[in-house]
Amino acid sequence: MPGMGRRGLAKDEELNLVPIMNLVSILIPFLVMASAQVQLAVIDSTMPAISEERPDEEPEEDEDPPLQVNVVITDQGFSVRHNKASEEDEEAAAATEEEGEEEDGPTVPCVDQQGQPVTECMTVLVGSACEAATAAGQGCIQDNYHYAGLTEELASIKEEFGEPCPYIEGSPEYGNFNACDINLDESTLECDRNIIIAPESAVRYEVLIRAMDAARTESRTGNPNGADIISEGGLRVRGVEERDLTSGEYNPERPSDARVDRVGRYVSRKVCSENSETGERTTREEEIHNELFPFVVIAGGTAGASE
Amino acid sequence: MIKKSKRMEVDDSLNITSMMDIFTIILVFLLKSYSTDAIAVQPSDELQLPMSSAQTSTELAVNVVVSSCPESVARTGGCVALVVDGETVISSMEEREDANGDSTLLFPEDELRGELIAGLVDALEIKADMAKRMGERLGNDEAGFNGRILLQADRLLSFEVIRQVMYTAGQAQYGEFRFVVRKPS
Repeated sequence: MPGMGRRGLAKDEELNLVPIMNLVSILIPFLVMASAQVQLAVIDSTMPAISEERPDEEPEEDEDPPLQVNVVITDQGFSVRHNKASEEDEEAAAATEEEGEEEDGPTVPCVDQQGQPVTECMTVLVGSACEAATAAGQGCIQDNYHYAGLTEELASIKEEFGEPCPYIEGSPEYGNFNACDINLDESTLECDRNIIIAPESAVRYEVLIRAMDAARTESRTGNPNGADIISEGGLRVRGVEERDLTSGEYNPERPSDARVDRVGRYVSRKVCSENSETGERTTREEEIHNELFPFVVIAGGTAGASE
Repeated sequence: MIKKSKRMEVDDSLNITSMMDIFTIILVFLLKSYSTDAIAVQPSDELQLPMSSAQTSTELAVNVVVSSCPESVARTGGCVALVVDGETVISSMEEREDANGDSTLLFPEDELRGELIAGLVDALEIKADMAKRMGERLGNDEAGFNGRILLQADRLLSFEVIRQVMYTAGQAQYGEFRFVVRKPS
């Protein structure tokens, strides 16, 4: 039976996998070498440059100077200061000074794991407590800094005094303009989003990094009233009044949410895009990450003037 | 008899298919963790990068590595305190007591010139000069001097050390810092 014989032959035929095996076994060591055990990222920061004030130029008194926030990291917590303190605050501060009560304590004191304020921000665990912490995957140095509190504090400052960036959602310019008519660059995003962080000498590097994270992120996300409804010409939040985009006014009653809040995570801006084939320029909307204070300056070092 | 010899033949050949299966899975896994980062970090006890929520990816720049490297470990060749682009600048840190009586690791006094780290400023000035000349010769800004530094530092170092590095880099015209951090995996 010739047919049967052929079928028998077909059964015995096997794909010759040996060359593929060779290939794979060479690829594997190469990939093992190139694989990353740790995922890395970077945080940008610039140093305050030395600026020599020119004597012939009088420093202009700005009616409405940009918001400037300083965070001092001490061994007792975070002290947050900004240049937009209201008159009432100043009066209150003056009053406490007169009473002899000095405002020494940090704005955001350290808290322990139960949320109680503590004076010691870095607790060094010893003995069995250290072993337990190591087993739980933490180090023997317990970090009591209240990062969530810092974020809250900064968010409230920004909400109260910060201006929305020009040409992004929420600003007066946003309603009606053509992004292709004006020259928009990244510097338009630097609006009330700068922060100066000044740690004390003994503060650990990790605390600085985590404070920078706290300054950048926004803890309040999600609108308790449900999803946002995007209507023509404005953003409406379900159950809450529509925000007036032409005047840039915010409804203070409106709960904070992920998409539209001034200190929220995402806002949209208009960008100009050019069609590479026809050369036609059109305006389109783009969502950007609206972080609290992403531009961090670390006080302590100064950049030398370049030659 | 014939049947028996046939079975022997079958047993002789290695069944490679299952091995292929294993290798394919390993291959896929390794391809997933393949990294194109501009820098590679070998984690050690003396150099633990802090965790952060930052998402910006790394880029090529002058690489400054500061680890909390006590003299006892440095002597055995276990670590190096300050490295610039692979070149050792300071071999070990010095343990000193701060105002509270806690011991902290700081750069040795004899390596410092006031606030400046003498070795670092020299190394960075050479790098800056080289980058500037390279930029001039190639005539493109990408290759030229941009004043950027990638700083990898141990998470437990005190800010005093970081400040000295930043100050020194600033004096050597490196004003833009990129703190290298670990993404939570």
